[in-house]
Amino acid sequence: MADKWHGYFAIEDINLSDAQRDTLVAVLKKLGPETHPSPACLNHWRTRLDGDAAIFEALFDEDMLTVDAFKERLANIFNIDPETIDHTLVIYHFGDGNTPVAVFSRNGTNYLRMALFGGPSATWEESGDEVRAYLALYADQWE
Amino acid sequence: MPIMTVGTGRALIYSGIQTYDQRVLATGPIAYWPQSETAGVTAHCLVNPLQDGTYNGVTLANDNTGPFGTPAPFFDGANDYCNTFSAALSAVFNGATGSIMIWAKVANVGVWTDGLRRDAIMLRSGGDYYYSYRNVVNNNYTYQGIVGGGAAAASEGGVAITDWMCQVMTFSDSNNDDLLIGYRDGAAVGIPSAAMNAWGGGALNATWTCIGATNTTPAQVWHGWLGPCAIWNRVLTPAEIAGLYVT
Repeated sequence: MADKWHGYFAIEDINLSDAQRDTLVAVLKKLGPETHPSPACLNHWRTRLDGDAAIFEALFDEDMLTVDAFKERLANIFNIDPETIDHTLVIYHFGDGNTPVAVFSRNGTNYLRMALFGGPSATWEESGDEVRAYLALYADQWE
Repeated sequence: MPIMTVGTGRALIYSGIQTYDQRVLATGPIAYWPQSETAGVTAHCLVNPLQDGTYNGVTLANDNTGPFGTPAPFFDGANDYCNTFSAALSAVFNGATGSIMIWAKVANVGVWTDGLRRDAIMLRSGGDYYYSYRNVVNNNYTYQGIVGGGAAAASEGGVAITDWMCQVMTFSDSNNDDLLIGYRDGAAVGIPSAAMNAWGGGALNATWTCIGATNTTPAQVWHGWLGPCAIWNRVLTPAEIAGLYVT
């Protein structure tokens, strides 16, 4: 059984088509448990006002949120080999924590940005502090 | 008979026989969600089960975090809300005359100065709105009605409360006064406003009838706990409002 991580991650569509983005979002909305006594552990999300980004929260399987897992999803959407997808990784500090942000690209074109708030070792509270700091920083885009 | 106090010190048992739920129900609300569930996604409406709400992402407790020693859901300030829209509620809600109550508690004192609007409750019908929220102005809480193109607001400044607050707003155009009044913890706050116009009378908006956010996007999300919430189709008297907050 995979290790669990309760926290927040975000995706931002950089250069996906509407259909590609919708397919990816539909897949991401299914991550996490189908049933759980706590609503906080069920997958729920918030959409940015322009519709090009979303924040998800649930009790996730850790291995579903890795760079390789996202490359696999993108490869399925584009019907390509995941080995042909590149990525860069930068650590941001929206609050006091560390938030790795990956940008996925192919042939020099960026397609998707993904942020794991607080990083894989963060507690739910720490991940929440990072996402709230991020939302405060970019309130004009989310409120 | 004196009020018996338990738990956090506020009355759980009133006149020796009534729970807080019973006291609220005795005032004839059209909807009442105690928000004291410990599991599941349903926020039960004790007036009409067809008006049950749906929790989205909140953290339910099994402790005495609520204002009366009962559990209360925590809204994370990121993506949590409770969707209280139902066709049944829409059918009975009268935006021309009414009252709205919600118990609210911020996560920490920093919420009062985080620069973000955070809605405790929102009811919208067409272009008409009633909502109660932590304003973007530091340490400010506002009771707002935007009705018929007229905007009324009563605000309380200098708020840095980290305990439970009983937030109530009343509104009425029954005497063509279009008056909106805000109350915290049983006492009127701010300046009553009479800037609203006539309620349009349409159905409630399915995505803008929420506890803990403006809408189901969700935007303007609450950060902290939200407890008992009720709606009436009449203006509660000051004595009734004081009775909803008993210490």
